[in-house]
Amino acid sequence: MVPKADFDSYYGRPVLNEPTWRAADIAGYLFLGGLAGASSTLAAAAELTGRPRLARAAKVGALGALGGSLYALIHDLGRPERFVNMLRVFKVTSPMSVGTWILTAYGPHAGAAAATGVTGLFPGLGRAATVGAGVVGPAVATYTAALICDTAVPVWHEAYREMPFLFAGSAAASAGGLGLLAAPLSEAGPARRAALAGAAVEVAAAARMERRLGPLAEPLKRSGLLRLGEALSLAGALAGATVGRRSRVAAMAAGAALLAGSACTRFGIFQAGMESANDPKHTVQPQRRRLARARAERDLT
Amino acid sequence: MKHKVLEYLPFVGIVLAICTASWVAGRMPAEGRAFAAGLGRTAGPRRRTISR
Repeated sequence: MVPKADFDSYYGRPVLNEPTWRAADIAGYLFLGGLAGASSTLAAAAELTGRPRLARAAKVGALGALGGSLYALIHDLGRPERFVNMLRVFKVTSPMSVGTWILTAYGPHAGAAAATGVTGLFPGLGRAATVGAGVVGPAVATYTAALICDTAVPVWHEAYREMPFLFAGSAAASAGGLGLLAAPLSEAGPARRAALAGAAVEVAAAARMERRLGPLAEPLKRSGLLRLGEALSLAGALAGATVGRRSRVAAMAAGAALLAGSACTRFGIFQAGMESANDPKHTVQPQRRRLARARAERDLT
Repeated sequence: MKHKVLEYLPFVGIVLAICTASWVAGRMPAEGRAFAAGLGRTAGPRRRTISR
């Protein structure tokens, strides 16, 4: 008797073409964008609660991270004009278009906030820019999740429910880490709290994502970078909240661990996505499950 | 391998530059804003000179 054929793809070749993105550009862009957005929100909170040094460090960090993320994005696009060309349209259903406009709105606010924070000129304008950047910051930190979930890469596409929470948590943890690294102990309270909350959300979202995706979560579970990222984020947040309250050196070490943990998480998510795009079973099996579910629902009605 | 390491160098350089700039900004004293101090536009309350 001939066994039933189990078709996954043509001679086992990938169904999808692997994205041509380079990890250093795109995963770097995801990390730096998150760091910029969350740092601006932390800077606004610090400014409004009378913590000038934490606010200034976060504003300068946000501007630097924004510059770095734009460098990575333009390096991936190939030519700077391609970024400008994306401003010709505004399409609500395209995360790339919305993201371009979010960055365009955010950039001048972040730049003005950092420039006035360092020079001390125009304090009123600086405060308005800080609050503006702080309001747009969460969108900058999380729109990249929508951007990658809107692709055909199986792991990213199927993880659309948890990805924004994972990115928000990772961004908050990295901004908290930068605050712990740069601000004096007396002003680092909001950075410690942001790091703790961010690391907890990041780890919880990653665990839920792996549980919900079932067999598709295989590349996520195999990723050493993701495990390292979770461990560094949790260790950094806990160290920052305990020994980091008393020792400047410990706070700086905790901050560095949080930054490294967030970067590992973004590179791990990127790597797992690439792995899932290369394996045809990750493309075909979710499609079959969706078809079977639709057929079952149709039979019921 | 060497090519792979070189690919990540700009990213590592950017992160180190951000940390350094942020650290320097956090070390600056609140009232040590060079430009504003020079122009007499500090964020704190202004002192008035009592003239005769």
